[in-house]
Amino acid sequence: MKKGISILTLVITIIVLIIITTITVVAGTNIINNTIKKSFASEMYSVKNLVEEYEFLHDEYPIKSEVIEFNISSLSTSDINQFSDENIVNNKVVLYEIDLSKAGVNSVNYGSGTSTYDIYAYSIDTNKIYYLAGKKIDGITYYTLTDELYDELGISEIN
Amino acid sequence: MKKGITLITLIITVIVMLILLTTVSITGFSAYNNSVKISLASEIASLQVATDNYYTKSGEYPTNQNVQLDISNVSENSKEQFMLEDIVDNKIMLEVIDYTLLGFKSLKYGLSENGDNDIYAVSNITGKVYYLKGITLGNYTYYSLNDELTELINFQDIDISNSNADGIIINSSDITWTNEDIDIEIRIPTNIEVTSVLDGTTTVTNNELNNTNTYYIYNITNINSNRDITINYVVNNESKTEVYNVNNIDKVSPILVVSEEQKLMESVNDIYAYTTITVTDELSDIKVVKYENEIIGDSSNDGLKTIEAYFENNGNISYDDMLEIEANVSDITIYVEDSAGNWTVQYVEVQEEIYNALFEE
Repeated sequence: MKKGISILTLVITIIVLIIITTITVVAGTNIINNTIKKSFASEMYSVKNLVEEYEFLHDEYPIKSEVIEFNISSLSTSDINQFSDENIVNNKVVLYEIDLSKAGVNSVNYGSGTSTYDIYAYSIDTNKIYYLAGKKIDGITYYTLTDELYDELGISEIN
Repeated sequence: MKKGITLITLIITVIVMLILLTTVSITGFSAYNNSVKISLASEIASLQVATDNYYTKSGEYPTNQNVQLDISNVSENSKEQFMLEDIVDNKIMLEVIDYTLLGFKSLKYGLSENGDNDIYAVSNITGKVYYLKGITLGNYTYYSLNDELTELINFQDIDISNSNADGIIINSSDITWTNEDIDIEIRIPTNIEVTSVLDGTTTVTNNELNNTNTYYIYNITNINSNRDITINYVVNNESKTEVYNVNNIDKVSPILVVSEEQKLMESVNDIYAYTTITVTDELSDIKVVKYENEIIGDSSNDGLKTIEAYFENNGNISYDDMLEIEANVSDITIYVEDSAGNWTVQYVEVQEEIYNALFEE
């Protein structure tokens, strides 16, 4: 009788290990993606609430005066759909940068101004909030609180 | 030469596999714990801002009942999350959040599905939101958005509770427009040296310690006019001032001016008449303008009560400064109410020629 482990046993062991690793990585990636999604949605929702609260208290929006003409021509069709409620003229959407300190925000994970578009912007026409740099999670770039992000937060209606 | 894998190779392979598995398990466990913390923190942060927003707009918390939280079994290090609350016999009074009032249809936690404490509640003292069941990770149970969770989601707003950066809490009995006196409760942490508390220009001296000796409590009652409440204090050798503006009291009735001119208009198919009104309110703005095509109440006290009660649920709403005069109406009662609940009423007699012109058999 031959001693040692046969090549077949070794191959099966490696395959089982690869399957376990793949399942673990996929499950882990899903958990991380969902966590990032929830965290991003929560921050955007919080900023939106603070903007609304400021507007209620002061009868004006906590926004900077310069108009941002955000060019969406380079975005994919599905990304552009996130701006479909806005008045799009020549591929541009008129938005205003949210003054976070005015709105009462001390610190943020996103929108802290580390790059030109790393900001939160507000649409006066639709009262929607946008993160202009977009946050890519699991292949989808999120610019605003989409239905999916509202679902992630467990919120039933856009209010 | 013998075929197969030697025992030493097998042992080394098993050891390497065990090391890998241990590393993956520890990393995975840590990532999972972080994921749970971020998930809880995100949910509490969302509920906190939504609750703050609701309170700002309506003057009340989105709650449906009180709940008493017993923290006698909570570990000492986890108890620090409740230190800003009034704790009596290891119990804290909180209010259960009705998350549907905030537009939430579902939550990851706090759905009352896992025991009595599987709910979110808010403190009417600090405005802080708590998850009463708590989530235990290691030897710590997370009930609220503490410093660690706030740092994890890296989101913080100054309105996260009713307190300022130094922990001074100011609660008003009413933050919406009101025509009644209000009371203010100020809680100043005992590690802060209070220089003075001013109600307008009057110094407030009466204060007491709360039952956990964490706050000096100043109560200013029966505030009947708008003014500033100023707290001068010293913290970490730095002199600071916190000002709370009482600016929601309006005890002045709105002004209603009815034009003496009543105009008759004739078109091809119709004949109608109208008069114009002007309404103004100095502070809280006009909430509603209503009218009725008859005399409501009279000038006696009982009559005045009748008027207010009548127009609470009845009357026609006037959306502009024009008031149409209908046929067969000889008197109109006009009622104007401001956002603080002050109101004024005026009776308008339809001029005879207008009445006759509009008269219908």
